[in-house]
Amino acid sequence: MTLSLETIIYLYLFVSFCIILFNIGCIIIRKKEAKALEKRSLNYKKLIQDHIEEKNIDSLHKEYLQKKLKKVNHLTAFHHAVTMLLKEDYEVRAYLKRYEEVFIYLIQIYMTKESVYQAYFAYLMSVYRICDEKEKNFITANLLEMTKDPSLYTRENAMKALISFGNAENVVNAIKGIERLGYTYNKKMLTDDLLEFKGDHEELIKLLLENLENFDILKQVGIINYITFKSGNDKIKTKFYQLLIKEETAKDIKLAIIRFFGKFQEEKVKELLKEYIKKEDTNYWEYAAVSAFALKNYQEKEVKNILIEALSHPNWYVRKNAAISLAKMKLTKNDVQKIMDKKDKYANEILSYELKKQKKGV
Amino acid sequence: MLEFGKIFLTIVGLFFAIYLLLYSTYLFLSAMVGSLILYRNRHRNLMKNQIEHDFFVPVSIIVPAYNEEITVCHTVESLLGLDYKLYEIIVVDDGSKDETAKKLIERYHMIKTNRPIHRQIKCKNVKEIYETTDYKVPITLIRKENGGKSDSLNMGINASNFPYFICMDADSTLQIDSLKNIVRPVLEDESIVACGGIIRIANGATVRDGIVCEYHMPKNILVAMQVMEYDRSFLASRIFFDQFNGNLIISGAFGLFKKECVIECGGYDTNNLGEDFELVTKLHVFCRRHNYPYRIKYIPEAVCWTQAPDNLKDLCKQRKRWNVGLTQSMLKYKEMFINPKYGFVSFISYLYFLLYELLSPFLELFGLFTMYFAYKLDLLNVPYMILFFFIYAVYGGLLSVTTFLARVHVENLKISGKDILKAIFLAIFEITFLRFILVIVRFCSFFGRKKKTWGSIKRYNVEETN
Repeated sequence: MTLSLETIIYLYLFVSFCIILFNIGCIIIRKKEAKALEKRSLNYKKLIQDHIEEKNIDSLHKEYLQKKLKKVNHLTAFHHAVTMLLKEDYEVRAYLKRYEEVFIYLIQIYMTKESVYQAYFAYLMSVYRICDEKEKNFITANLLEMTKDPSLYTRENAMKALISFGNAENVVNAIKGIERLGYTYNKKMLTDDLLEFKGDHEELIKLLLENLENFDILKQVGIINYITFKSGNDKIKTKFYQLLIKEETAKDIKLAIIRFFGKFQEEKVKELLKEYIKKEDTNYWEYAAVSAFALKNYQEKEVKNILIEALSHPNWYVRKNAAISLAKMKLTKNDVQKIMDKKDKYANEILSYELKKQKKGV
Repeated sequence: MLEFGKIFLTIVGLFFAIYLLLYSTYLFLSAMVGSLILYRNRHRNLMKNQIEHDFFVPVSIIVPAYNEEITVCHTVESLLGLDYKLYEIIVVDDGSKDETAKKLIERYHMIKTNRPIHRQIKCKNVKEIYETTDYKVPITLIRKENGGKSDSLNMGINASNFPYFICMDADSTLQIDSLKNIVRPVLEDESIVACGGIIRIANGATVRDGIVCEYHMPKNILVAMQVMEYDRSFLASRIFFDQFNGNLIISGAFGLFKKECVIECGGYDTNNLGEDFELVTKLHVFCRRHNYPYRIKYIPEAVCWTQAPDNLKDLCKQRKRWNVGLTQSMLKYKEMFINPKYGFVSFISYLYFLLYELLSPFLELFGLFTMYFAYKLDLLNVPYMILFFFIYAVYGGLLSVTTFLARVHVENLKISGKDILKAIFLAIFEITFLRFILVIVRFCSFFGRKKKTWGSIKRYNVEETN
């Protein structure tokens, strides 16, 4: 037994020594690679500068790029060169657009490589933005395929590339593809991605609304949050109102819609929000809290009275949001007196804090 | 007697053979996995395989402070420089006897307010609250009755406005991208309830505006040995445990938590000296009991720089406190001991901490006793024993150097030839010398009164640590 133990320790020693050699090897190789990258980047920079002013495609240059950029280390150097030139305010985008065929060729190559390299290629597409919103070509088709990849990073980078191109239909198809495959899409990430969309937001919103109920709850919330930032036209209001009054609609979706109506007022929704606040049932506290915050833009006496009552709600968040909303409204001396007369220490405390905060910016 | 001695020593020998084999295997696996994962992560990051957003999730940074007048303003200043948009800073002054609060109020022109606090977790009373919104993010200072670090953190959680919070030490400095890096996994996986970052020793580093300008191994040998120790933990063990959601600790100096989850399981335990270990273990127990899908992640790219004790007395105080906290938590959550419900967390993580951290002082002393017993019975093969210790020391030292060198895969940290030589020298010295001192300290921590107080080590202004 002790002999075996020694043998195992020797084996571990050997492998640990190999790992040390590996790490030392990494140090040496990385130093060499860094020098090689710098040299290659400068070469590509010069090469791009020589062709940047041309109006036509130089076929030799095109073939050279197609041949070299198949290798990741060359692609990395090329990207470094492009980044340097962008910083120096060169018209690199026009050059990249002119040599779009190079990237059409390269995307086929990179689609056969590992996910990590596909993600990198997709990232470059999002930075270069060589396709515009009218295009549906080989690049966009392959990026759509990448949005179905098991790797989250490949999906995200491909999505960002499609978003940067600005074609609404491609973006919506990508989300549909992700939904079909059952991949999650963090609602915050989805909202942020959609906000970065470079094309026609109205068109995008129209398509998203048409497909809204086909998505899972998280995606629906992400989309509603995005729409809240961008637009509140009558069509959206009608659609969201329908969802809000439907009993089967999930809670998270309803709460997101309430926040939407906090920004874009609607009379019939106002009545609903007032009802939510009045409910003291602990199962509905989130509806009450979000409604209390949403009502801040509904400047009328009845709303004010309901919010004043809500200052004594059993739930802390409802009281807080009611105080925030009241602080944003114009409170008269009578309103303030009404609150003081309630002799509710917590109500007075929270409202006076929010009023001071509103007044002084603290 | 001799026969009994032989049987006894055979059984003990077998026990220690298995014990050491398992420990060696664990060290080896963690060093190997650590290096490979760091290599893979670095490659992925270079290939832009990461989530990059302008607006991540909003975070409350809670900084509990007790007598931190020397470092607190520097800490807040470094937090204001973070490359992140949505966050707030909450400093909780736990009844400091120095000018911690005064320094902050004057430096940031803070105004006294009557901000109501939603007390979802029990904690001591508030004395005063100061706020300012004149800077990049809102800064809140809460002065409260003294209740300890855990109590202060609970106060910070109660006061926080955002769904995630970070607990940080008042003498720590984050790198400019630390907050982004520690939050990033939350966007990737919504089941994440906690994320831990890597703690690096600031003695020897120059960090300006959140960027590491210069780094070398600390001149102080005691601190340099702690660097080796931290690397074994943060560049190996924690990465290994992370592969099966098995981390039982997120350092109190820098950790991200989902507020709702922490509140549901009762917040930090104010009776526990190792609040960081206790909270993470509690999260494991809580989520498993309620069948919540959860993940506790470790992110080696999220870096926090902190000061390490530079004298033996402070180091022993610190380790004694850590060991008391470990003991308290292991006993409190003893249901995790060989419990299939906890899977690998029970059979690997909990057992590791039990056998190789908590009980190791006793086992090692027992080992020394049996060696003496064997020697007395003339059953000890002394040359073989010496050879075995030598091999083990070399093995331990080699693994320390392996994990030290794994830092080549971590961005922004260069290693000089001088540092490598120093690491090789210290690796053997740390395994043979410091380790035994700390075993004695840990053994002694089981006896004597357990004071529930803030730990205190001598503080330096960060610019002085070089």
